[in-house]
Amino acid sequence: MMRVLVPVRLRKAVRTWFDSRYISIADHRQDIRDALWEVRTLRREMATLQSEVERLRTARPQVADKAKIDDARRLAQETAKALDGVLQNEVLVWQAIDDLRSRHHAATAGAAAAPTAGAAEPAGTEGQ
Amino acid sequence: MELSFRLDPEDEITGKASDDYPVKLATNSCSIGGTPADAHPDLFALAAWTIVAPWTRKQITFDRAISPGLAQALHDGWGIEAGPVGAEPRPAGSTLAISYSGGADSVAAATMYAEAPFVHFRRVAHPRIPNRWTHYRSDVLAELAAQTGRELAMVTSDLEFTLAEPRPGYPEHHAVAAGALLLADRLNLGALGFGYELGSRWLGGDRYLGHFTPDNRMWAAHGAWGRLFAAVGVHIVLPVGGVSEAVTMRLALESGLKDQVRWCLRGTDGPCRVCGKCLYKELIQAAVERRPLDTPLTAKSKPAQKWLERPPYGGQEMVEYGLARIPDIEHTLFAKALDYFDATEESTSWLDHCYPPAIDEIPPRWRDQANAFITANVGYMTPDEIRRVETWGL
Repeated sequence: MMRVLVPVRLRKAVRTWFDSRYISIADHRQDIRDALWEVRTLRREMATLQSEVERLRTARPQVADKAKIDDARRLAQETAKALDGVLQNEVLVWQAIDDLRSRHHAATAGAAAAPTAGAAEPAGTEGQ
Repeated sequence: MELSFRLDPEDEITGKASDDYPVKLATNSCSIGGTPADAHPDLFALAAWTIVAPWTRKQITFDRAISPGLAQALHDGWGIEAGPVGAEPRPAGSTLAISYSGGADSVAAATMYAEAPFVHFRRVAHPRIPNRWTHYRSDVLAELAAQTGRELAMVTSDLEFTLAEPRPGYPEHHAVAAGALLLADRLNLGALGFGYELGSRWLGGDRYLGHFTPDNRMWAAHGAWGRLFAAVGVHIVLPVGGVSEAVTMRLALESGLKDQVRWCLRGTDGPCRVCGKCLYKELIQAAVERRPLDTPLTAKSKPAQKWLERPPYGGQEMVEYGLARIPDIEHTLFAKALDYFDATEESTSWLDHCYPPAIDEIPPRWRDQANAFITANVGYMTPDEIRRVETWGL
């Protein structure tokens, strides 16, 4: 290590310059006080929030909700099942309509006494 | 494409699929998206037939004329009068596409034909049927299919909702191909490859007969459906029709598509591991990898109940294969099933090889590639092993 002799005035100037870059002890105290105040405020807010959560949790009427959910579920299932029946019935209704229509065709063709191939219109598949 | 249909006087809500399983009609309309409007009329007719066949007893009238060959095939296979007749037959194309679901079987089939384009069927909701099956994640499967990097045609359809019971699904197994058929002209298809394996094609697997079925109505090249598809110039090809699910599992997990393999219909980030299908596939995977069973399910879980009862089971040959190979199987939920079999590695080793007639029934144009692949990656059965297939369940 190398030691160098530095004039007192210069040393003092450098020291003052360094000191000016740091916060005073009094300022530090004030900062700590402020932080402490902040922590206390937050703690109070936390307590308020916690009691709010507790209030909401106990306020939920669980039993009534479950009954409602079950009921909605049952209704949805029954409705879907009923719709299945409606859709199947629709197929059967069309089947009956087609049957009547072809009988009607046959009757009118019979009255004309000259049945033509392809006059009847058996149901089938239609794609588009 | 919108499809709507009517029942003839002799038709009923409860029909029968080609495997004789009773199926109930839900509604008489459905749609198929992602397909062109100008396909050959025979393609429209066959696509419609894959949906309405279970409920058709005597006759069917299409909204456009079909070829005499298709009408003949419908008559020969089902005793159905089909019309109107009056279109030129569709000549077969030169491309084989894979009907790609993303499961181990179709991935294995895809591996065999590395250049074949994919057609993926994606279920969408039906506007008239409340969707009570939202756990079926067809969106996840579609995304995985898109990640394969293969040429991909995506078909969207609600046709599965025309089936009310046992649950929404393909009215006939072949309905998965409805979209692929409509795309046949666009893709110049001469064949469509399905992932149906040895159990489905030759052993009467799933809800079918449970015994050796050389003349399988659904999947034999000379069966009713095989001839019907051939009549529209799209041959049914089962690339993995001669190998078991153990082989398809191994091929899939060794393939370049291994990161996209997904047999579970429920999982999102991966297989759910707790459905019946995941359990069955885990049995096969553990056997293939020769490691202990790895499942969160216990003997009390719902999917396990099936294995506490007596056989027959669906995919029984694979159950025997698994029981014979998985270390420590006697301490798993399959313990009870062990009582019903005395399967050994020797008695189940036929399931590691290919049944030769399965390759013979592939049309010549695509046979050599399948043969070369099988020879290089699987190997054929010995006469003794062939006898195991041909006496299965008899």
